[in-house]
Amino acid sequence: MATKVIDPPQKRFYRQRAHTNPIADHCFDYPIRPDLMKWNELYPNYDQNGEQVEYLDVGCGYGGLLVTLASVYPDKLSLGMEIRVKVCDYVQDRIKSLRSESPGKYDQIACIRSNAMKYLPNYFHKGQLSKLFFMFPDPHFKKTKHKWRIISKPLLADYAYVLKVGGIVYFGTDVEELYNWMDSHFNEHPLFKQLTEDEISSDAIYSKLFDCTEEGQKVTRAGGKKFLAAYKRVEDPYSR
Amino acid sequence: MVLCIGNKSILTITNDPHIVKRYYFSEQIETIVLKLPPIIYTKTAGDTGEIVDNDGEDSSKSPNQMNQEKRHFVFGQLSQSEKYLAICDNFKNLIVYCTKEWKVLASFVIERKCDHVIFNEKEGKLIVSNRSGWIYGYQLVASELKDDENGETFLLGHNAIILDLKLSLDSRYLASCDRDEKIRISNYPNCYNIESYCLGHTQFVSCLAFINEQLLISGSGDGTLRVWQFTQGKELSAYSFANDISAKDEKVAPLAIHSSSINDQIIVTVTFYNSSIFVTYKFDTKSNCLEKITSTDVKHNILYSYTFNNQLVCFIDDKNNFVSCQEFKIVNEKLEILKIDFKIMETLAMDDQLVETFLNEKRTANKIEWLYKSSHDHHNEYFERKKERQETKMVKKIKSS
Ligand SMILES: C[S@@+](CC[C@H](N)C(=O)[O-])C[C@H]1O[C@@H](n2cnc3c(N)ncnc32)[C@H](O)[C@@H]1O
Repeated sequence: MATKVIDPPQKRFYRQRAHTNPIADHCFDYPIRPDLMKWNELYPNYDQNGEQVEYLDVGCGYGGLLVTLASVYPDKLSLGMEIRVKVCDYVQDRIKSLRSESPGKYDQIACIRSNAMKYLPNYFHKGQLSKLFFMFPDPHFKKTKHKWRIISKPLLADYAYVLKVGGIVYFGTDVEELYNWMDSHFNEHPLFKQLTEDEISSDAIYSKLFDCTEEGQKVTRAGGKKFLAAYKRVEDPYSR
Repeated sequence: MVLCIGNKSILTITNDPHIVKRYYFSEQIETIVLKLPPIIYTKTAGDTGEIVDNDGEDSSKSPNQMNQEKRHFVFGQLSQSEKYLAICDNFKNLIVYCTKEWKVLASFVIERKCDHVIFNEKEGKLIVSNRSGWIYGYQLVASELKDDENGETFLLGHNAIILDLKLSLDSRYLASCDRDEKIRISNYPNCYNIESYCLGHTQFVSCLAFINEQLLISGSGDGTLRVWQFTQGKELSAYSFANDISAKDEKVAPLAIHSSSINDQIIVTVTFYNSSIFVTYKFDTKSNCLEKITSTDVKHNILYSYTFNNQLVCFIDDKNNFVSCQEFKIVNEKLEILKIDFKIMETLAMDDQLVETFLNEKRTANKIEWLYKSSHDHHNEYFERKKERQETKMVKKIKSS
């Protein structure tokens, strides 16, 4: 049977205002708890024998990192989470098109529309994820909007909750002030520890992060600076 | 006006002048003129905003506006032993008194209006949740502080308004629940380490109660009470309460869950928003299920409820008789609920102005309609347009071939 190749989506149909309020009520379809998530609807070859989503790209935008993850880690399930409907729809259509073009190569990536600030525990069990990406998150410069930032004091506890011990969180930005904010938050959190130079150099994805996302490419074209860091989830040092 | 209820006494705190009246159950009455530390004005809002304020703008008042406002108390909480009283004023000054000499033990300026204040088991710490959904811990004993500390520690934050906050019986876990259907179990005091999430409710979670070292009961606007093995976040049973309270309209949610053990039986009493009925359940330790024993109608909506020593005190929406007290007893293996009278409550109820203020405040505070979430989808339009676009494309393709 000849499979029809689906055209790649055109961005102009999917553009949407840049900032969405992540705190307001939105209408999301999310599972009440992780067991109820129908992953097999997202991953065509999803096999229920213990295979789970392990890599999560938060605010995946147009999906560049996901596509890279599919080639760097062909045997891991990766998920993009995006709050903007049209942008998420673009990524879904992009993956559909890629799947039809190169069968079998993109079955392990998918994208869902959701608010990562609120619903991570609805999708993932404690310690389920081994990589978490925050690439070029919205900077929300105004002080009164800092609560909209995806990296914040309270949210780090949730990221630590979904990451397994030894799992890695990556974050990158072109805004120095935001970088310092994110870095100091991870630094102060007892469940995260910065990766050593050695750990970074043996990491397969770290060096690729800047140039695989659409936002990163934009910054490169404009000749802007970029800042990147990675932290590891560690055991709780607290003892009674 | 603030009302605080303990096992030995009830306190009323009135403003202008600031007077504490302490009504002991032993029928003694004490009047204390509060010595207040000077007002410390809040710095402008920090890096959090009110969760209910969705536009991201700062809603705090200017210092000038604040200066003209009269100081009044908005919140009060007695510690379990009644040795301490924590009160919070409209300037977000949180003051803790020793109730023996009425001396100030500690005072703090908090960032946002507080919703819930609890003391830890040893009564050396306060746990306070605010309107931003953030929870802070406050160290009450200054001698235990290092020089550079002000006694305030950030504990955790929810991304929605926090509706209840409870410490486990052994003080190892802090349970907090919110409007987003979530119950979070954090380690305590290392709250940055989340032990589990108890997920299953489909509407806001309005109240929580630990019933023993392993189990937690929650109540929700989804019409259920659920029992959890909380460290695992595992739901053991769900109970629909709608029939128990013959709800007049469906917007009924549990107001408070009280658990007590009488002759080795775990008895769970639940009061509800917008309802005059409280329901008493037996908790079956084999099946981990709730079984209804009886519904009791106190004739007027229950606005606030409290238990101690197997007694339930309900403050009800009735000017003439605003307290209703019952005692639970097991007689011949059967639970009996007897109406009892506390003289001191009658004395309290004679103060018309106090009753009036209390009822008004509670009526407003107990409005829960806004907590319900509706589910309409605003994005259909986008997907419909997209479908149209694709169909015209198809038609064009077919025509051209
Ligand atoms: C500046 S873009 C960067 C996109 C992509 N990571 C890249 O590097 O090209 C940030 C993205 O995060 C999304 N976003 C913001 N808040 C979010 C949230 N709470 N949950 C999920 N996505 C979010 C935005 O819609 C936006 O697409």
